[in-house]
Amino acid sequence: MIRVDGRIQQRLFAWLVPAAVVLAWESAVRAGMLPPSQSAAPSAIAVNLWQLLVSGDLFEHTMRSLARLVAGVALGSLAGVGSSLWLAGSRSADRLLSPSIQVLAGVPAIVWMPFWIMIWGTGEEFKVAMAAVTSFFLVHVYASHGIRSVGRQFVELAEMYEKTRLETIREVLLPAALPTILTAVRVTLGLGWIVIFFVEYASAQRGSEGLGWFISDARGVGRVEDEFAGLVFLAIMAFATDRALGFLQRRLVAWSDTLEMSIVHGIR
Amino acid sequence: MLGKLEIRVRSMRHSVSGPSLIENLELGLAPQSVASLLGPSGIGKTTLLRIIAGLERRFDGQILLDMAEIAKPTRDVQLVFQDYRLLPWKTAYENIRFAGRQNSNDSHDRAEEWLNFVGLASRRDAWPKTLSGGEAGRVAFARAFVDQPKVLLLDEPFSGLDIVTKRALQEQLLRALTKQPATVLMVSHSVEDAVFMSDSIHVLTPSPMGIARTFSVDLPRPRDPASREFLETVGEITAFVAGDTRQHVQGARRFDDRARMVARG
Repeated sequence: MIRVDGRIQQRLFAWLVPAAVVLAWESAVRAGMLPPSQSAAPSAIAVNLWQLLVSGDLFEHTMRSLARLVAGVALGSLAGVGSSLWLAGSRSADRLLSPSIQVLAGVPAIVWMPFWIMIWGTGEEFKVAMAAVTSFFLVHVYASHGIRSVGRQFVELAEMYEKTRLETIREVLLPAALPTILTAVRVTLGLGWIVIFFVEYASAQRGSEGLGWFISDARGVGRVEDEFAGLVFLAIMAFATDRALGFLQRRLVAWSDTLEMSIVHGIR
Repeated sequence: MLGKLEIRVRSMRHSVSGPSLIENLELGLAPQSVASLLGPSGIGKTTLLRIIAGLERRFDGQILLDMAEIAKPTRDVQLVFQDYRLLPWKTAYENIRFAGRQNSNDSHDRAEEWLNFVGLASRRDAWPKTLSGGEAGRVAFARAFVDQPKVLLLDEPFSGLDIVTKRALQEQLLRALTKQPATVLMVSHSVEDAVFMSDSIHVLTPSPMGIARTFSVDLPRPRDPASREFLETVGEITAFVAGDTRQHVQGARRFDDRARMVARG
């Protein structure tokens, strides 16, 4: 009997459910159990996905979506970290703005759509703003919590070494809050994909492209295999960006000794 | 370089109506001397160090360093915390460098020099989570020395260490003081540690904290903890501490009884 290394065994184990779903799906399509106009077999989707990738069509749409996502999440995250630092350092600003931010943070991202359309129309700025707003509130809330949880002892240490306010932020507050901030950015990246997909899907204009638009367009003209290929690739991209940020997180907070980091590092 | 430290705490309370934690405590330390504060846990020794370091401002009194008042934390007075308080996101070297002035050209060189001095060159890029207790202590000492403070405050820096590590750390600290002299005030509840390190030992009374008696330790250096003179000194101070503690426990009981009677009216 072949002995399989424990880690490989666990990885293979994780593929059991998707493999079963794909098998059942393939069988159902082949057996004619699903309506042909609304479904495509996984094997046909895989072939189609490959062709779309080789032709470069899907790559172009993906790059559009990715650029919007990265721009939105980066802008929103930077603003979220900046605002949390500002409110942590200014009691009056905190009293003035924190309640409003907390109320607005609970509003689903999609609800912001009419507001941003009113300002920017349905152009590029609107799509980026949707992702940015989603990131902003989440990162603000997480970063505020992270900064306020920094032990007083470390701030005292900065006082003892006569650090300036800027040095204290750069050398103590930000690094201490970094694990929490990165977790928020990672969560927000996943949400950002959903928001970007939604706004692209909802915008029917040609020239606005993106994965969401590609899927919406394929559905509109009945290219079911393209539609599913787009969906699969969207899922792959969301997974890949999450993994990339996870890798960055491991590098940036290798110093951390918390349970959260143990989970990120994948202890068994 | 001087380092004459004068401590005058008339009273210190954590709250306006609360009991006085420290009362009428006066202590003067000669420049570059090593003194210890000896007393049981929880009587306010750490609070006193925090007052001297400028971290605790709710007290009535004055702390003078070379005749100038210490009103806020300063680089001239360095406190080595009991938990060493290394920044987890900085390596051993970066923790030492953190104490240096940002714009100082030689702060890098000095950090490297102190890292080498405490024998941790090979652990330069190690995260604090990977350092042993003794290694973390050495980084904390190097960090305290790197900016040439006039006064070094040590809050039970050897507690929780095994005897071998503790003795090595103590010897390293005394060597560091030869290399770069400073006035040292160490808080301890170990008579042996205090005798090994200090020129004078101040035994403290609890509730409110004050000085019960000061012992001058005139043993030659380096000190041998197995020598007769060392053991006699430890014995003498231990006997006083034990007797004094008993008196204060009885005193505290009498105080509690009185307080209960007053409360009952």
